[in-house]
Amino acid sequence: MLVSRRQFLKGSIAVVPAAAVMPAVFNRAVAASVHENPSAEAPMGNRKLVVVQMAGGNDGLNTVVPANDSAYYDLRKDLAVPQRDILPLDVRSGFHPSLASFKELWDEGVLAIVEGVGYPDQGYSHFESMDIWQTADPQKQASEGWLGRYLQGIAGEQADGLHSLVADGRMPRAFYSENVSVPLVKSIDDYKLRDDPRNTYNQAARTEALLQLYASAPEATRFGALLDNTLQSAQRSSQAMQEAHQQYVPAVKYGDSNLAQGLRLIAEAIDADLGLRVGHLRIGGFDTHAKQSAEHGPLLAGTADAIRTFYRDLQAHGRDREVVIMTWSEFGRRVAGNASGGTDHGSATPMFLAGSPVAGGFYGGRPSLRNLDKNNLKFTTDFRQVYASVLEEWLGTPPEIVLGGQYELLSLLKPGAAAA
Amino acid sequence: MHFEPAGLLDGRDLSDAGELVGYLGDVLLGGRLRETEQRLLSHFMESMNNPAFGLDGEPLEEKLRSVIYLLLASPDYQLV
Repeated sequence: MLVSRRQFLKGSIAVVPAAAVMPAVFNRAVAASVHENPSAEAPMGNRKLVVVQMAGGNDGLNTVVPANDSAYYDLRKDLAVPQRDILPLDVRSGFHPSLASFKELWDEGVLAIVEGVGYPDQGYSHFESMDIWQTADPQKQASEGWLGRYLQGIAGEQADGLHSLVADGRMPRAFYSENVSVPLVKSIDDYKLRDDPRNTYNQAARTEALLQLYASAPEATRFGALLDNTLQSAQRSSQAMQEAHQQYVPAVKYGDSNLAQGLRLIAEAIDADLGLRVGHLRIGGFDTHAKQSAEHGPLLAGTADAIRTFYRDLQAHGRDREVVIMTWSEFGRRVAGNASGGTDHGSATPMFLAGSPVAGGFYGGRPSLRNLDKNNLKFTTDFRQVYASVLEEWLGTPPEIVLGGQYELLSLLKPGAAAA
Repeated sequence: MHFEPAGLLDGRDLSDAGELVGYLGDVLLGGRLRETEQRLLSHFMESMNNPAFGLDGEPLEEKLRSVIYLLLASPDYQLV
């Protein structure tokens, strides 16, 4: 069922000043009925967004290569990907040769490339720019993450569902929220309530007492609402994930990387119908200041291969129409290489969206290599346009409530999959 | 180093689970143990395998370890 503005506001009113959102309430309330689209590929409640962070700042120019632009070879010099190696996408550009898996998805029409993504007054610090992408707030005022705000809005929809899953060892700021607990699962073997292994005496009763202690925490305290459900949801989700893991039979062989294994975990949660709406994973190492030619290819291959494997597994289990995969990176790299055979922190970079609901193709605008800003690409597409498009078109959620503003949508989905 | 929780009770005149939980709450939470929690922990202690509360023997050791674990894992200890 679609999340109506009224439902969403009920859960998220605390994170956005009421005055900022109330005037539009009635507009959306009317639009909500239009959003109930019986022809949509997957019902709203079954739709999942899987976010993959390419941490470190991915070099977009050597990812989606402007192969027929002589300026690319003039500026990139030795770091340029040779034209003969490029996997052609259209007459202007092609993939890095390590992206054969993405080329496969591109040829099937289920991969979208959003070019030139960035934001005004680009920050070149990893932490600052990651925070901006994860809070969706270049003004750096927001304390909560954009996915945390989204999850707050749907918190009442499925009280017992495992709405989110971070397959990583650290919590992304995108999920920061005072009212929503997000399972952090790096390894399924470790994802369980840890009791004292030396004291097995009455372990079950002790766990039950601990759950009651958390359930009895006063809601009036700052973290009361969070405590009210955190431990219980952790206990429930860990049991559900353990069962899903034991029962799941992947249709394809996942790689050994953290990203590949994390995607497998998410596939398990999807297949077990645990209520997942948002998954998040991270692959690091894209901060290629040195020896980029040797390091960038394996990173791209690791990302694309894992995503393709995940997609194929979803297809084999008949769940591919429920999932959109979205990548992001905090910035791109400078146009010119540095003296260490690498590239330094830059600006605009592409985002990828993959999945059966995605209308494959190019989106946004390709940044010009002849009109740079202090040797950096000028961004053409605000990352919040991509977020807004995913929220509105895929998750059926009012983007202005999550993002605090309105952004031009990109129409990234196939007509039958779009929410409206 | 070996932790002997029973040593915490030395010289204390504690006659039942409620008093013991109250005392541990004073020590570990600075007296902030709420009545609901005290009742819950007392009930937990009394309902363990050997319901008879005594100051001697293995059951008390295990009960004390469990109650101390719960107090240290409680929201009051972890977040305040």
